[in-house]
Amino acid sequence: MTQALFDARNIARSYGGVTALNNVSFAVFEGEIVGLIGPNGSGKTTLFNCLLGQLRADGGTVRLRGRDVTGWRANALARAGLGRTFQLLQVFGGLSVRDNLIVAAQEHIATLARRLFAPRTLGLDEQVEAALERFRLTALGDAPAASLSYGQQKLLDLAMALMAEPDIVFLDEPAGGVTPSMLDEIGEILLTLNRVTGTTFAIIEHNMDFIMELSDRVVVLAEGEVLTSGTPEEVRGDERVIEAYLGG
Amino acid sequence: MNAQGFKRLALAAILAVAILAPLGLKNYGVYLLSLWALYAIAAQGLNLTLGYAGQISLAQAAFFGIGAYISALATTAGMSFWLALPLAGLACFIIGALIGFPALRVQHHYLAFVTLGFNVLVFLVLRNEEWLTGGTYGVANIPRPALFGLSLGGPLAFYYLCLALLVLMTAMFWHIVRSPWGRAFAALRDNPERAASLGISIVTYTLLAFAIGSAAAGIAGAAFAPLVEYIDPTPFTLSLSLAFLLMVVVGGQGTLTGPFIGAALVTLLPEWLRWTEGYYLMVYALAVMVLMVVCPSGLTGLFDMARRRWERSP
Repeated sequence: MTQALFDARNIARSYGGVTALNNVSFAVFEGEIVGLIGPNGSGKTTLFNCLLGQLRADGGTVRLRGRDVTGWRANALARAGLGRTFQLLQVFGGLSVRDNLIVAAQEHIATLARRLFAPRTLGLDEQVEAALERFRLTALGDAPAASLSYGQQKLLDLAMALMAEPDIVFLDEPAGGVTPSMLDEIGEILLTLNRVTGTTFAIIEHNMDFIMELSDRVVVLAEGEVLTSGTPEEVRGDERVIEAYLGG
Repeated sequence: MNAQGFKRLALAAILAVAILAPLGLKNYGVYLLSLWALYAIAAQGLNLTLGYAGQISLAQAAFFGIGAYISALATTAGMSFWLALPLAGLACFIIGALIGFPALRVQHHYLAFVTLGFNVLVFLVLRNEEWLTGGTYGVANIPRPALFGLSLGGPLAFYYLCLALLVLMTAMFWHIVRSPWGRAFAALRDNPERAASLGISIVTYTLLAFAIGSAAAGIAGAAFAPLVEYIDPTPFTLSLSLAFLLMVVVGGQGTLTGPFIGAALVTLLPEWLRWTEGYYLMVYALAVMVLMVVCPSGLTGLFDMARRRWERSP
C-alpha cells in the first residue's frame, strides 16, 4: 500500500469531561479529494484545529509524507506544506487584495533577514496576477480586502490558502454562505486544481450535493468518532449515516 | 492627488517646517522642538508595536529612560556618544524582545498591565539602585557630542542632530512598514490565527515588533540625556508612557505621519494653551476627547477625511 500524504492516527481531544474527539484516524492520499462530513457538533472543526496546530490534541499522531509533525505550531505546519481555510471567513481586511495574496506566500520565500531587504512583492508578481485571474479578482487587486463582497472575500480566502502551493489544503466549509452560482464556480476551481495541478484536498462541508460530487472518498464523523468512510455512493447508502444525521 | 502622493507631500511639508521652525526662536522654543523630535522617534516606535502590529505597550517611557541612562552613564564615563547611541538602541532591542514574551500569552488590557508593571519596575530600579543610577540625585553634567570636530553643544546645532535622527529613524520605519515585514505585522494585527495558518510566526513577529519599537525609544532616550544634560528618574514614569500612547492615538495609529503630529500636539499644545492659565489641562483634555469622538482614527484620519471631501468637490 502506498504511503499516505497525510495520516492522522488516534486523535483525541476533550473539553473538561466532554469528549470531542475519541481516537479519530483518517488518511489522505496524494491527489485525492476527501470529504469530511458529520452532523453539527460531531467534532469536524475540532479535528481540523487539532491537526493544523490551532488546538493541542490530548493524544494521537499526525504524519505528513511519513514525517511526524505531531504538536507542531500552525506556522510550522504551513511551512511544511499544509494549507487551510477557516469556517468563518478570514482575510486581512486592512491589506489590499494583492497584499493578502503576497502575505499568504511570503513566509515560504527566503530567510527572515532577507525578507526585510527583498523587493516588496518578493518576486511573486506573476503568481499573484495568475491567482487574481483564476479567482476573478483582477479588477480588485488594489482594493482593501474589507471592501470586497462576502463572495469575493470567500474566493480571496481560498486563493490565499493556495498561494504557497501547499501539498494538501484543508477547507472548512468552502460552500458556506455562498450563492448557488458561486458554489458552482468554487467547485469548478477546486476540481481544476485537483485534476490539473494535482492539489490534494480535505474538505469539511455541510452541503451534501456539493461534497458528494467533489469527493473521491468521504469520511463520516459522529459524536467525535469515525462512523464510516468510503466512496460517496457507499456513504450515501449507509444506514448508519442516515441515522446519525436524522438523530435516530 | 493619490494617497501616496499626499503622504509624501505631508512628510516633505513636515520636514520643511521642522528645518525652518527654530530659526528666530529663543532657546526654550528650540528645546521644545528638540523634545518634539525625540518624542516623535519614541512615538514612531510605539506606532510600529501598536499601530502596525497591534500590540499595546505602556512601557515606552521605560525604554526611553533605559536609553537615557545608558547614554548618560556611558558618556559621563568617557564613552563617545556615537557609540552610546547604538548601544542604547541595541540594549532596548534585546530588553524589548524579552518584554514581548508576555504578549505571546496575554493580549489587550492584560498586556497593558504587564507592560505597565514593567514601567513601574524600571522606574523603581532607576530610583533605588543608587550605586548604578545615582538614585534621586540622578546623573549630571551629561556632555553634548561633537561631530567631525564640530560641536553640537549649542541649542540649534543639537536640535538639528535630533532632527537628523528623526529623519533617519523615519526612513527606517518607512522601509520596515513597506517591506514584507510590515505586511506580516499588519497580518498579525488583523488576524493572528489566520496569519499563523499561512506560515507567519507569531512568536518571531511579535517579539520583533516589541524589540524594534523599544529600540526606537532607547535611541530617542539616548539623545534626550545630552539634550537636558541632567537626568533623574522623574520623567520616565507611567505618565510619559501614557503620553506616548496619546501621541500615537491622537496622531493616527498605523500611519507614518501620525506620530509627528501626535508628538507635536502633546509637546507644544500645553505651551500654546498657557494663555488659558489654570484651565489649560482642561481645555487640552476636552480637545483630545472631542477629537476621539469625532475621528477615532486620529488627526491623520481627520486630514484624510478632508482630503477625500476636497477630491470629491467639483
